[in-house]
Order: sequence, then structure tokens, then C-alpha cells
Amino acid sequence: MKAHLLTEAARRWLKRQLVDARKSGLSVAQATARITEAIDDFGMDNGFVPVEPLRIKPKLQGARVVIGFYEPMYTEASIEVQ
Amino acid sequence: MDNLAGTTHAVFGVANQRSIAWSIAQKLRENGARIILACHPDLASRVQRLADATGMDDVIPCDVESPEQVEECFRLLARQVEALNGVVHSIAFSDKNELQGRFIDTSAENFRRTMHISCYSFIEIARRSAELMQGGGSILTLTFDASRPWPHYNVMGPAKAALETSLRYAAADLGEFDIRVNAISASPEDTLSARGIKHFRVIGDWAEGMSPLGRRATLEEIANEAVYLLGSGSTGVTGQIRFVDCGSSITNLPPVRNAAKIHSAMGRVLDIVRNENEKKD
Repeated sequence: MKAHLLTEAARRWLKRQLVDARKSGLSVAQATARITEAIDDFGMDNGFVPVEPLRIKPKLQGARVVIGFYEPMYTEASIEVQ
Repeated sequence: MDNLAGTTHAVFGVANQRSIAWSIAQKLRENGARIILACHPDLASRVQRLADATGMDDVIPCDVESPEQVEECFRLLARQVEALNGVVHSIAFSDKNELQGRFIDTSAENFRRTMHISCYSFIEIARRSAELMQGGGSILTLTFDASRPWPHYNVMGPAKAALETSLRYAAADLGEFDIRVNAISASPEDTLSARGIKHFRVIGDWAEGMSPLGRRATLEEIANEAVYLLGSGSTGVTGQIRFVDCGSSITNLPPVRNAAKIHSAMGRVLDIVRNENEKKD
């Protein structure tokens, strides 16, 4: 998959994770732990790793993570959702 | 651990904080060595931030596919150091589209590129590094079990086999200058490079299942071995491949106590086969 398509897929995926965390009434710390683990898992199957830690805003109002792709070689993308 | 105070080591191939090269660089630094990192130009700002946080020197950008950049890298290196004591080569790459499916479908272009980045770069770095080593030194590269095929590892297998043979030839050439050349054959580690390999998870699970220790080596364990091979404790060791894989390369059958891990890995394989069959239908 091309990096921009994967970036878009990752954005939609992160948004879903954040919405689910809100619905489950998780705290920022709980959501961070759960989504961090899920990002790692998602990246395993999609050829990327998080290269900066996930940051979640108070009251789960938004999230940001920077991921690095295997290919295109060494491309990075900042994934941000509200 | 070894006391590497007063020594200078160049580490090629840090991509991010999960890189094996980064673990080695940190461990060398902890042991008192001065570290100079060289990395792909696109990664220089990220790697520089890692270097800054740990008191390492400025990062030198180096795309090993470009002869001009390799030359410039060593020109800068020569300007920064009086002499090099050690060098780590931890560089490999292959087209992600060919790290899946059948090995036999490898394209000529990707074969050439994979060999250049993953093997020739070692030869070039070893030759140029040797010129900066006065009174001996140690060169280390990273390999992964090239003795048998791994699913989807494909052309990386022959590239690692070539790398392993190259290190022996380099060791033979450089011995007269008291320069040692060795490799670490590590467990399949969950790095960015590994994530280019389709279904890498299965390879990882399988390696754990085959291991007498029931796990994969940690990055710290690999780094400890690197410090040994780069330091004064291994002055009689050259041309060797040292396995840091929790023993997974020595077993023919998994230890009984790892049955659950192997069962889980086989379950994943069956899921993959089922999914691929469904796609075909």
C-alpha cells in the first residue's frame, strides 16, 4: 500500500480507536495504554512502527502519533485526529 | 562490561529508537565510548534528536546507495576522529512487495538493490573504516539465519548469506592490520525492518517456540554481545558469526514446554492460508 493511503487508513483507524475509548469511558491513561498497544499491533501487519509516543488530549478530545514506514523507505507521517 | 573509555565507534544504520543499531550505540556509550552515528539522510533529524539526548556526536548522513555520499561520509568521519576503534554495520533493505510470496519471483532489479544495500555496503564500509583504524580495530555486522529459508524473508536470505561470506573474506584481508570482523546473528527482532516482512509475527512466534529459552533475545542482550565483539574481551575472535537468538537456531523440534507457542504460530499460519485461499476463490 502507498504511504499516503496507509496514512489515511491509519488516521481512520486511530479515529475509531479514540471514539471507542470515549464510548468505553476510559481515562486518558487507560486509553493511551490500550491504543498504544493496538497501534503496535496494527503496525506489525502494515509495515510501520510508532516512532514517537501516542499523545492523547484531556477528555480524549484528540490524539497524535508519529509513525515510520518501512516503505517508502524511511517515510514518516504524523497522524492526528480530533 | 568492557571499559571502552577513550575509544571511538561509528554506528551505521540507526533508523529510530527501536533499531538494533541504536541499542548497540547506547550500550557502547554507557561503556564510555565516543559514538558517531551515520544514517540515511531522510532520517538524520530524527536520529540527531536521539543522539542529542544521549550525548553523542553530530550525525553524519549517508545513503549507502550513493558512492558520493559514502565518500563524503568517510571524509567527514576522518575530519572528526583521529582514529576509529570500532564500526557497526546494521543496514539492510529490500522492496516490501518482494518480502512476500515466492522467493523464486524475485526481480533482478530488487535482487541487485537488496544486495547493494544489505551486503555491498558492508564491504565498502569495512574497507573505508579500515583506513581510519590505526593499530587495529573491530568491525561488526548484523545478520539473520541465512542457513535455511524463512517464509517471506525471500531475497534477504541470500543477501544475508552473502554478507556472512563477505565478513569472512574481510576478516581474512584485514587480519594483518589487527582488524577483526564479526557478525551477530540475532533473533528476529521487532524492528522497522522486520515489519517490512509479510507475516513477520509468525516468524517471531516460531523462533520463540523453537528456543530452548522459550523467547527471543532482547535488544539489550544483542547490544551486550556487540560490546564484547567490539571491545578488548574478544581480541582473539574474528571471522565469526555469534548467535544471540536464545538458541532457536540449534533445535530441530521445539522443546515440549513451548508447545503452546508453536501451536499459536501454526494457528496463525493456518489463518493466513485460509485467508489467502478465500481471496483466490
